[in-house]
Amino acid sequence: MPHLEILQMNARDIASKVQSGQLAAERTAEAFAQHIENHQLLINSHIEWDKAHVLAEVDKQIAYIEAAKFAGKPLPLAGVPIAIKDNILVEGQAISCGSRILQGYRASYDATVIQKLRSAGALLFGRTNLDEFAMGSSSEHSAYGPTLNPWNRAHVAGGSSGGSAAAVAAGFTPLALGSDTGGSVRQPAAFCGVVGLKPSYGRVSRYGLVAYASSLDQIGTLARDVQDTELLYRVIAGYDEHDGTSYPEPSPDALKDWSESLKGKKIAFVKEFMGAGIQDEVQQAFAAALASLKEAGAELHEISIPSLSLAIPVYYIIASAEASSNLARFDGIRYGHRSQKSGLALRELYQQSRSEGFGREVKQRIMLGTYVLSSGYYDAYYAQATKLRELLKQEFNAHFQAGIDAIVSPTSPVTAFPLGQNVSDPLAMYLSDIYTIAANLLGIPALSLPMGRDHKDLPIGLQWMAPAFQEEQLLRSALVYERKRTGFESIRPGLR
Amino acid sequence: MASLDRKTVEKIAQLAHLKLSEEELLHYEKQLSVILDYMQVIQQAQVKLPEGWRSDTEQMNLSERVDQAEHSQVMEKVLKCAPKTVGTAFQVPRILE
Repeated sequence: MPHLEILQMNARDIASKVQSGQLAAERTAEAFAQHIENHQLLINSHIEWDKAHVLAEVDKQIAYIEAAKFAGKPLPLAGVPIAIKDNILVEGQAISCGSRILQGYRASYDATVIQKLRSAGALLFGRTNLDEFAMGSSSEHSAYGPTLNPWNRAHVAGGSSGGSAAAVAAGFTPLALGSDTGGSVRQPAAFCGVVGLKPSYGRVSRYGLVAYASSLDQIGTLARDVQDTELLYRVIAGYDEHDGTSYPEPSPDALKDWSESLKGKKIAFVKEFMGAGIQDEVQQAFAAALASLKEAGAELHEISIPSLSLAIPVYYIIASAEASSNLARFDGIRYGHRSQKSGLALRELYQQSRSEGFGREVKQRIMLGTYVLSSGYYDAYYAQATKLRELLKQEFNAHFQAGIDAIVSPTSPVTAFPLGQNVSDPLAMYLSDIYTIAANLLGIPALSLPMGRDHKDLPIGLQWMAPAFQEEQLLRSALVYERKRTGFESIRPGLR
Repeated sequence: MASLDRKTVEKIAQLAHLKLSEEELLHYEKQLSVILDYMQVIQQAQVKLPEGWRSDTEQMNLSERVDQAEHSQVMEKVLKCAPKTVGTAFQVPRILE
């Protein structure tokens, strides 16, 4: 099969053809590796792309795929290349989290999701770029340069999983892993015109994910369409005893017996989301999406969630507080950057190493988090934010309990903004997270898929949210919409 | 309560084990003030929640693991990552300044 044809294949077709022997995993690896080699620097999707190293590792995996075939063991991701966001540990490999502070560090263990990918026959295809420590919404806050949007390289890819989303959009790999704390899988998915899923909190093990905000983080999937999303989700989801917040119930087969209709489904849109600041074309695309859903048989409802007006401060207070705690471990003693300055006492060494290693945005969030947790301010900020988070949860749950099956909205109020536009404005970047943060604060599953494009050809994403642990329902509904939509034809990967 | 002054920023930096340059102190004073001024809005909200409302801790799966000692087998891997080691210990500078 010619390379070009392989590059057009989606993950499920690759896996099935490799398993049946119609396609050699070596050939798949070659095709994608060469494509990345030729184009990676144009968008800077990867922090590290070493073709020789990747293919050497692939050889080992191919031996495993062969053995599994011989033993009749099904491998759901046989021969499928997958790019990994560089905050997920892969044993023996360097990991940067988009920062300078982990220079010299090599992961001493595989994240649980990596073990699962290996088991499933997937080919690990490089470390993708991200905002430093997953803090950001554009992938401009990386110590390794920004990732550019494959649709228009004067614009950002979104963040923090920009590298992963851009890699899938550019056709570098059919699948990628990202992490989502406040929208970091969904928003870049929307900006890059791919499908991004953030599972329910607890569905995917966080063991081996470098922690940003532990009550909000989840590893998520990037793929070209909903079916590939479901395939990857099924592989990485599941109880893990190494993660104390792991959900013990197994996830049902999401797309089994799915139907083409949304009849009987109550789908809500939120009054408080329809305020000012939404780009006109996003508004129009959303209205068209709602019409599509209605045509597919859904019952549309407008709902109100008053606490949403406070969601952004609540999110940033909690996330920064948790981040300040999680990033305290980077002190230059056990791993990572240690200041070379001479004559430093211990506390000075911590200060110097951390200040040399962390970037601006990370320092800012650490300080914000330190402040809201400090004596005298804890009650007014952190404790209050925690209570408001609970209130928000109750408001959402009241609607779910009243029968709402899913909530839809645009994923982002704007399409991918130009590089450099929001970098110095402290609030502009934060405010654009308004649609995505609720799902993290509540721990519910959420997905973004393309619903249209603006006049600059930049993709527009539609976000779906469902009650906790209802990924099955979420994926099925999203698939119906994907089949019916006309505003965005099936992604044909490439660079423009 | 917000709008930070320079002294507060210095104190926060100290708590966070960060050493800021003159330029950074000015930069963060401005940035953090803007952000915290905006965050103040949550203080106006009156939140009435019943006793034992912490649903976020309800969901925790606190099943215990068997209390069995095992060799972790990570010593070598861990020491390999450290910038400075002395035998099987991490080397640190003197504590007192």
